[in-house]
Amino acid sequence: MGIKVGIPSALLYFYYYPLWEKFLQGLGVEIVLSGPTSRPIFARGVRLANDETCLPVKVFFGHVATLQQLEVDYIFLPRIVSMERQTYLCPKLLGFPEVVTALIPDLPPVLTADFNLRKDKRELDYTLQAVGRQLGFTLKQIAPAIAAAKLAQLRFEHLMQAGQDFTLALKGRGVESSAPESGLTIAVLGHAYMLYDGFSSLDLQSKLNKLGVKVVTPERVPPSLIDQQLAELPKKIFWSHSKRILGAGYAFGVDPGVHGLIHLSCFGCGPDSMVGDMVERMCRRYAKPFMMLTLDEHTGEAGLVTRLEAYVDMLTRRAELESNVSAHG
Amino acid sequence: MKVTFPHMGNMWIPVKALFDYLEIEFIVPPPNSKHTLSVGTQHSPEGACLPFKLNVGNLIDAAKLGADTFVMTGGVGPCRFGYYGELERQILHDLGIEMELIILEPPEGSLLGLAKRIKQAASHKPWIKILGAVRFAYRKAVAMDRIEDLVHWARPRAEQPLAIETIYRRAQTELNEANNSAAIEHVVKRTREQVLAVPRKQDFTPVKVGIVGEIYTLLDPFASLDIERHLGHLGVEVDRSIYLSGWINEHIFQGVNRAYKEVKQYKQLAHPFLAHSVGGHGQETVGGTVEFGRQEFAGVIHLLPLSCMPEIVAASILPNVGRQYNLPVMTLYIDEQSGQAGVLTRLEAFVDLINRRQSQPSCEREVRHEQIVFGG
Ligand code: SF4
Ligand code: SF4
Repeated sequence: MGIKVGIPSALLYFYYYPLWEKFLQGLGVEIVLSGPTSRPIFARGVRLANDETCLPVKVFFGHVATLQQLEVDYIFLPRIVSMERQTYLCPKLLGFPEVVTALIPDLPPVLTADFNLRKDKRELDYTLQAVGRQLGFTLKQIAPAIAAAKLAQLRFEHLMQAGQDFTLALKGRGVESSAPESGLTIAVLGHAYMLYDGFSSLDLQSKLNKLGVKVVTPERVPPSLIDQQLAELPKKIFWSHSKRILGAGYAFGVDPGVHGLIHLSCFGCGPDSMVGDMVERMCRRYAKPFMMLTLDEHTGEAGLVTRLEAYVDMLTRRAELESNVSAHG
Repeated sequence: MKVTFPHMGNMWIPVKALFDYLEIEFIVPPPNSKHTLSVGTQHSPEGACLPFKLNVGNLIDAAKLGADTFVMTGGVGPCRFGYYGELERQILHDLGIEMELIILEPPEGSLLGLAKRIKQAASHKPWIKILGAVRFAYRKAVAMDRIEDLVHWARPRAEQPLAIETIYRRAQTELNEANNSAAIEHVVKRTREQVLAVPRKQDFTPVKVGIVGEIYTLLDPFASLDIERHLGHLGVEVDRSIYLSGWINEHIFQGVNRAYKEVKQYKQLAHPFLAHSVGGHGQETVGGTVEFGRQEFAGVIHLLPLSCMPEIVAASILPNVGRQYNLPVMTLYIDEQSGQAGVLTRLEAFVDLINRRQSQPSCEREVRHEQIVFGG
């Protein structure tokens, strides 16, 4: 019988799942996912995680506890220190796997390795090799799986840049040509695990779509444009995901096709508190509408809808005003 | 040029010494207070960590006193501290306060780069002068640490702990005024004599509590709600994982100096519980707790600002350390709404607990880990 590896569908899953999926499948390993976040999953997380930690970490704990109940041989719990030169991930993620194993007793064996590409991106190969070897595979078996995994990850990132829906991009499905857009466009900034997790974001994207709004997210912005946007900053941002959020925020901020920005953050997020503030300052300088949404486990749907409606109304009025002005001018 | 530097406990004493030596005018911001915090909170992002808000308050205050340049130490992550300087600059700029920012940033691994930065800031004074200034300032930091340690020792033992506070305050002033190495030594010596002259309680051995956590809350009495003093007056001898010179040595000199208390060993001690750095001092907190456990301290108090990322990792792991070393740990989350009154009751309860435990056989002592949030 094959090996079964459980992967929590939370946190870095939203960034790197295609890489892990193709890699493990390439080795013939069966993957068990904990599935989309739901209220019971979340409730488990809240019970187990540190009370003061951020929402996404609580959600993650719920997913790990869910996998614990499914029959898996391993839980995949890598320590992702850095996936890109000169950057880090959030300190909280650097403390996984110890934090998870400290707070959730009796876990199945943990499949882990330190991904640290801060200095050298070849580390990715070495780390995946280490993972493969833990599962008993040889370097010869591992090599083609690594190659396929990297391709899948690249394809996913390109699809996201092309504006594909997250779940479809995750499956590697290409973008069908869609009807030309009209109406409002709002850029929603935030971590992928907030933006694309329906439960955590209170379905923010579909709520906006229902109001007739087109949503763009940081994953749309190619890395080269992000670097270009941030080139002026006297000090480099050292968190990779926040770097994307800030660079995208700056890009959307000056994009006349984007009518307003929403920063979707969660209570207790350290990097967001700084990066979000920088985006807001920038928006103020360019008189771009900006809304800050800080969610926690007590945020109510109804209140959110009211706020979104008010924001969209305001943007609509602004857009009408502007088109009147330009029509007459 | 009028330079300022945000507060962090007694940090201003060596920093002022550095600039005085280089004959650069230095503005000490008014001490941290409720006012500092409310000004800082008003102009900082809501979710920023407590030290950031105090920094902003200090800088605004210092600008009013004429400071036109501020110095910050840097960092390349992953904790927020590395980005403090730049965001502070933006906040001040948007408030219409134009201040030059000098980040003392050792570009990964190079001490020379750091020295060059100081030289630049000091309008290219000769190297010898710069080295002299750095050495002199560092000496003051080490002296400050020695004095603090004396105070930690003396508070619980003194019949009149307030007498110790008077000596401590005087020592701070004198150390600030000392303008050569001999004078620094003299301050330490005199402080020791004064401390030893204070009448002590008869037949009393204080329990020992270790304090670990985020560096700012460790070093700054305003941020820590003065818990070292409170504990001292409750008859507890405190020690902490990191002292000022330890921090300076590690953060600015990259460990080439000898600090009063080294922080290097903590990473190794932490390793079985937390094998990787998590930024800030998360690993040092875990390692420090292990060290206190090994030395059979009666308990450990873990301090952190609410939303501090490295320390929340440590907070999740400390219960394991506590179990292994049979050590009660109390984690205190602090934010801008925390008040002294609340903390005092908690400290009293904790001290009661450890005193009771001390009189039980060690196998029967229950290990507890409490997490307490101070705030609204
Ligand atoms: S980046 Fe923010 S949301 Fe993500 S783990 Fe860190 S604190 Fe939590
Ligand atoms: S250690 Fe914690 S409190 Fe200090 S700067 Fe970093 S995140 Fe903020």
